Order: sequence, then C-alpha cells, then structure tokens
Amino acid sequence: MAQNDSLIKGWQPVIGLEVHVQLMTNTKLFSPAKNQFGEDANTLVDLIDLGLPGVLPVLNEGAMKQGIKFGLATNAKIAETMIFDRKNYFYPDLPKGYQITQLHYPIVRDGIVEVNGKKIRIHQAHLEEDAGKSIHDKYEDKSVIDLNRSGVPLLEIVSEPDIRSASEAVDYLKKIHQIITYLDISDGNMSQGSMRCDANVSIMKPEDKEFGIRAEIKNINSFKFVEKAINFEIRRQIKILEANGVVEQETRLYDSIKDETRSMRTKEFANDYRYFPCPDLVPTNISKDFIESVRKDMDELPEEKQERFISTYNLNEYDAGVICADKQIANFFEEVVKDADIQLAAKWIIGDLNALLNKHDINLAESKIDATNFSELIQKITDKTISGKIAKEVLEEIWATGTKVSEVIDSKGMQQISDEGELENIIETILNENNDQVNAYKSGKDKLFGFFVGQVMKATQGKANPGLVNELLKKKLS
Amino acid sequence: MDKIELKNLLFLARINAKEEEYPELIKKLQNTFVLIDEMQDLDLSDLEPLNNPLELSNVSREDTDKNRNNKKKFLDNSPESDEDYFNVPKIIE
Repeated sequence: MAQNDSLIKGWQPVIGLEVHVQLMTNTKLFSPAKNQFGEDANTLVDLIDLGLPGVLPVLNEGAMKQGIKFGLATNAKIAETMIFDRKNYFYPDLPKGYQITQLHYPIVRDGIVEVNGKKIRIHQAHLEEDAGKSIHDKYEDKSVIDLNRSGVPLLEIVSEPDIRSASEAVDYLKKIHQIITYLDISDGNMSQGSMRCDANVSIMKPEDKEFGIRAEIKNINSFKFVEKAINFEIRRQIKILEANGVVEQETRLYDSIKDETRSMRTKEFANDYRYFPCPDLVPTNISKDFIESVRKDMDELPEEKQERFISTYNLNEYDAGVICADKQIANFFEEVVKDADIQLAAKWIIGDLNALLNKHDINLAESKIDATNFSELIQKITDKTISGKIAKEVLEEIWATGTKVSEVIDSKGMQQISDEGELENIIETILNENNDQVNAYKSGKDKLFGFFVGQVMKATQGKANPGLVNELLKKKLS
Repeated sequence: MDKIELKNLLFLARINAKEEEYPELIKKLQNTFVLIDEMQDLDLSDLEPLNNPLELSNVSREDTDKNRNNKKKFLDNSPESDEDYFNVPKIIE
C-alpha cells in the first residue's frame, strides 16, 4: 500500500465541507429588496421578507444565473427542474417560520474541483435564503432583530467526504473562494460572513470499509480557523476512540479564542425540520438555451486565465499560477504590464508585493497600492533611475502612504547614481583609503571584490548603480 | 403516535394544546397515518415522481432593485420595537 501522509497516529481523517456563499445579486432571492451589506438596520426589507400573510415569493433570475455559473465552472450537472422546499424551524430572525431551500432537486449536482491535482467531488450546490441577524448585547433582557440579511441569496456548496486532512480542507476552501470570486458571484469575504463554512469530520482506520461517526463543526469564519478547528476535532475524536469510547453524531461549535470545539446540544430532543416542497413555488424548469446564455456571459476562469498569461505574457507556469491565484492580482498585473516590463513586474508582484499583502493580511483592494503607481515603480527600475534595493524602500513607502513613486524618489533623493565620473571619484577615494585591501586583492584575495562594492554602496547610501560599480571597480583594480 | 411523540410535535409546531385534547388529537393523527400507510403499500415503481400537481413552470423576475425603505412602518407594525430594531424575548442558542 502506498504511504499515506494524511494519517494521524494511524487514523485516517475524513472531511466534507459545506460552504455557504452569499451571492452578489442586486436583490434578495425571493423579494425585490436590496441585497447589500452594512446598511442601516431594517432599511432593506420587503413585505416578503417579513413573511406577512398573503405575500408570495418570486424567484430572482440573477441568483439562478449565478448558481448556474458555479455549476458550469465545476463541470457539474445543472438541474432541468429544480424544486424549492421549506425547512421549518422557529427562530426570531426567521419571520416566516421556515427557510426556503432546496433539498432533493438542487440547482447544481455532481461537480468537481481540482485541488493540488486531486479531484474533490461536489455533491450538490443549492439556492437558499439567508436569515436575519439577531443582536443580543443591545439590551440586558431582550434581543433585537435586523432583517436586512433576511432573504439574501445563498449558494450552499456541499462537498463529498473526499477531503483527507485539515490543510487539504483549507486548499479546497481556497479553491471555492477562487472560483466564486473569479465568477464575480460573491466577494467571498469570510470576516463579513459572505462566505461561511461548516465541516463534517470523522476518523477511521485505513483498513476500515466504512467511515466513522462524524461531528459537524459550525461557525468557522476564517481560512486559518478551518485548519485549527478540524485539527482540534481530529485530535478529540482520536482521544475518544483510543479510550474505547464512542464519537457522538452531533453539531459542535468552534471557539477560536479557546481553540476548541464544543457540543451545541441544548435541546432535550432532536429538532425535525419537517421539509416539504414549498407550495408557493412550483418546480422551476431551466432550459438548455437559458444555460447557454449564462455560459456566454461567464468571466474567464482561473485555469483559463493562467493559460492565457502563459501564452500572452510568456510567464512560466509557476508565476502564472501565483498571479492568477487571486483575480484582483491577475487584473492588477495586466494593468501594470501595459507600461512596464512583464518579467520584472511578475517578479515584484510575486515577491515583494505578495509578501506585504501576506504580512498585513489584507487584499490588494484594501491596500494603498494602485496599478499605475506600481507600474511606475517597475519602470523606474527598468530605466535605472533606482536600484532594486532602493525600489524596496520606495515600495515600503508607497505601501504605507500611497504617495506617487516619482514624488517619493524626488523627495528622498533616491535616484540611482549612474554618472561614471561621479562614481569614479567615489571609487578612487575608497581605494586610496583602503590600501591594504587593494594590495591583498591584487595578490590574489579575489573575495575582497565584494568588500569594495560594499564600501561604494555604503558611501552612496545604496544609490550607486550596481552594474556600473562592478564594471568601474574591475577596471580600477586590474 | 403516543403522548410523548405528540408533545414533541406540538413543541416543534409551537402549538399549545391542552392535555385533555391529546386523545382526540392522537386519534385524528392516527387516521392520517392509516392513509399514509395505504399509500406506502401502493406499487408505484413504474411511475415518475410527481413533484407538483400543477403542470406549470415557476416564473422568475429580473434582478432589479425596487427597494422602498419602510423601516418605520414595519417596526411600528410589530409587537415591540425601538427606533432601529424589532425587539424579541432574549433567545441565545
């Protein structure tokens, strides 16, 4: 048997993810109220969202199109007929007393995403409504409800239990994030809740034929926590089974502060959602023509963009992959290289810019870097106005302040010294001051060449053109 | 259907029935179950599932915003509210 890296203490984790994605439609799934995050409480509410008697839901075609886009992007089957069901439960942020969702006839079935060369199957993706928001800390003795989110369209993407480790779960989630942001169907912002993840986790012995009993972990709201929550849960289950205990099938909540999962069982008996087809909505047929019209309207997918970057910009596969991992970065790259050297721009985006984004844990749109300014930075390196070393300082400055590159260079006198006469003078002085080293170099200590370069750079505060310094030093020392 | 199952069902549906009504409710529900059992016994293997008795396809609408801010009207219509929110009993799950 091939070695299996995903075993932990001889146990095989088995993981499936349910990812809720808030769709970026103009309006809600069944009401014409606006779908928007961060507006004043209860201002984006329609009679339908209140669930008043006599109102009828009408399906938003935009949400349907976005669901179909996801299906097409994952090579899934798009339903010829999809059916909405009612999932019944009572909670104050759900005024109707039921959520409209899809149980047996979802819009999308049997998709595939490829993660690190492995195929992970998508069982289904279905359309459903989001609930409103409960706020518990405004008053001591009562809760308050904001219904702006009530009825916002969600696409719930359910994977098969094909994932075998916490890090693979993170990679799968990043892939889903990449697909939905490329398709422009969601902003995928986990901290604002527009992408949420539940994880089903069980463990088994590699020789077992059947999966173990799973626990469902709720409330995981960052990529980092996905990994931590799953790893905690795996360790918890191993401990139970190795003590000859039994894992209970239950829902657990991840607490990111304590880094643990804990049981959510608060009811005396199991809830029963009493699903049934929503009588207000007859089955929805989706024609082949409609699907084709959606396909025509689809944006380029990550793999397509990567291929294009390789052929159009002559990037290698790795660089193209890194740049296309994030649609924002890919679009940024295309803007930058309109006026700047392609390979140099790629190098700086993949290296220094990515490092800054990671360090500060923000995305490009949240940063002060814009394509025109970054392009100028690359151009200034190409035309030798600044050296690579100085360029790093300029990048730090425009990262922090957003100032124009040319202004940073001018105000700090960062221009590279490429004037031969000026450099020659500096070199003469250094050689005169370091006679011993000059003699040692001439008698064969080649390594000292670096010392002289260093001295020149020191004397010019790093602004000397390195190529020219090398050339002049060689001439002087020969 | 026994008393415990009925109690569970009443709780899920938030129906407040008195203890003395239970026998009658159980009798009525049992009649329904008899009907369901009869249906379960039918051989339907050569029939397509009927998802809806109406042979219609659902209509949809364009994704255009027709938002009207009726906040005040809606809040005033609720049993309890403040200037921004619907107020409800404290429920923390």
